[in-house]
Amino acid sequence: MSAGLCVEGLSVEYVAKARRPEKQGRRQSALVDIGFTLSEGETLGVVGESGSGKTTLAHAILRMTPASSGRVLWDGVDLIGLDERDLRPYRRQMQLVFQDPYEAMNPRMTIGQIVSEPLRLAYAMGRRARLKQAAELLHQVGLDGTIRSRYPRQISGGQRQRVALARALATSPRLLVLDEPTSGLDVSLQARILNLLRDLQARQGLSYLFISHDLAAVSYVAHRTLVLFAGSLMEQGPTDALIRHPAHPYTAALLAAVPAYGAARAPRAAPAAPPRALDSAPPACVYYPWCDQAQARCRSEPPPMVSLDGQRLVSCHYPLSDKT
Amino acid sequence: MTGATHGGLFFPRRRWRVTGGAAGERAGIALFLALVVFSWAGPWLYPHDPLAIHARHILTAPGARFPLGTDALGRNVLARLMRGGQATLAISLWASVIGLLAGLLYGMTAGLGPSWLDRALMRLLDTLLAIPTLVLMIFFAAIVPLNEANLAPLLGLVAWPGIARLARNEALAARERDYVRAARQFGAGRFYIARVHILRAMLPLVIINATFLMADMILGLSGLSFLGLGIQPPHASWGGLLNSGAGLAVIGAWWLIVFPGLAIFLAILAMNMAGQGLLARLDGEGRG
Repeated sequence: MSAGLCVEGLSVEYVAKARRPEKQGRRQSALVDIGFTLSEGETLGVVGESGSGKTTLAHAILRMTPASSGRVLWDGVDLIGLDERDLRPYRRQMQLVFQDPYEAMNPRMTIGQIVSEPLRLAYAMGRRARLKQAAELLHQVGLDGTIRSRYPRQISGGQRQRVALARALATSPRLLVLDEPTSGLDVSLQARILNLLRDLQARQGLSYLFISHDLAAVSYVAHRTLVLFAGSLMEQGPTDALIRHPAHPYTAALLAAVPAYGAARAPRAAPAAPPRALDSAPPACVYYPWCDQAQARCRSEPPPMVSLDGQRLVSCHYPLSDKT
Repeated sequence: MTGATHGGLFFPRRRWRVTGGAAGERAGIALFLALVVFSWAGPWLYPHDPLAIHARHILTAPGARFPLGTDALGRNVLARLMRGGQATLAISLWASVIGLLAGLLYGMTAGLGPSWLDRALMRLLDTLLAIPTLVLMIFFAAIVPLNEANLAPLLGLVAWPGIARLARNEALAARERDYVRAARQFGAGRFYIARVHILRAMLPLVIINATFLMADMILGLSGLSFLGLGIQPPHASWGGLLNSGAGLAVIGAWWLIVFPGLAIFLAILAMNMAGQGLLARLDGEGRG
């Protein structure tokens, strides 16, 4: 088995807890049959609108949300099957940077305590060694050591994002899952954080799972990209090729919604899909009701994942050709 | 939000906003300290036996020899008020501490444990709350001897449900916070999370509620003593002084109820002011 992350057929379902018997046990699927690989030192972008399952994917990989089926292989070991104790050494190797760094920090702890908490938990390090290490971690993300005595509410959004990053780096992980790392920041700060991420990757050989709805950010950092829609994988492939020549109509719609990529056309709203109820889902393409390329077959038969040129996978009966 | 979830011990909780902010808090604490000094340093500065009977000076009005008068047996009211303050404040404090610790333990167990345990513990709590406090107290007062050592746990016993509910709700809210999930991701165990994150998140609110609880305990103990179930004569407590003075006030011995009543009133006022001030400070801080 290769080093890195390999996800196979990962699905997450939520079972509705309803009082009324006819609604009881109704399953809602949040993720359906997701598969991809992420090798060492690589960045994989995950794009999709809100509610498409990006955060669920991150949480399922890190075992923060139980998966209903599938495998998450880390260096060939299936993490889904491990119990909490066996999982512990792996937890250190993969860290999550939460979507909202402010929410992810205890408001009553200082930055120094926040950054050194993983050291205390993972290595049972003494207080003095911890604080010293915390200063080093903060320095790594471009922050001054004096920030250690501040509280999360006393620092700026960009600093908070860096602190979140420093904390995630504390256990020397090999994989960082970055959940919308730039969403709350203004454009110049976004660029700085993205550059910092690239620097860290170059220095430490980290792998990133980079979740974002911002295609510009993804195209800047991600080597390869996944496109999610309603919990299903629409398309994956090298980021450049995927952006230049989207093969799935949804990817094309997503790109058209970004002014910079939509060229002369006015930005068009990409469709938003409601969560699917599994029991009532017709055997069809999930995207078909919104698709402008849809044909009769799309309504009756879910499209298989097909390979376009060895590198790209697309889940569509009628992928867009390179010419259009 | 205001964090007080418990009702009064005997009466529905009504609270008047006395003053806002740090001034009220400081005044409340100062007033409380003044009462503590009065009760403990007082007997030292005014060394008179609270139990000594001056048979010739029955029901003397406040004057030069007895600053706050004497009671029906000729005992020195000022000395009794000081000694009664010690009993009242110490028992209330211990009762609050016991109620606080028991409530925290119970509430955090419910809030952090599995959901079936939470449901079971909360239904049990509802059942306990359905029994009127006074009835419960009278029941226990009938089976254990009433002395200073027993009264504190007895009062604490009825004090903890409010704190328990508060702690449970706060724990439930805190455990789904992202920073708790982050700690779990770093390998934090259940007890670490409870101690470091959840307790820290709810401690300020709990401390504030403890001040209100203390006020409740003072009132509760005084009420109990007034009914004759508190500290037993001849030992003094503020509520007990009020009880023995009540019948005599109608024949003109006003000093027998005014001074103990004033002491109880000031103690409760002090705790409420301190609690209000702390609460205002916490809200201003923007918790969460």
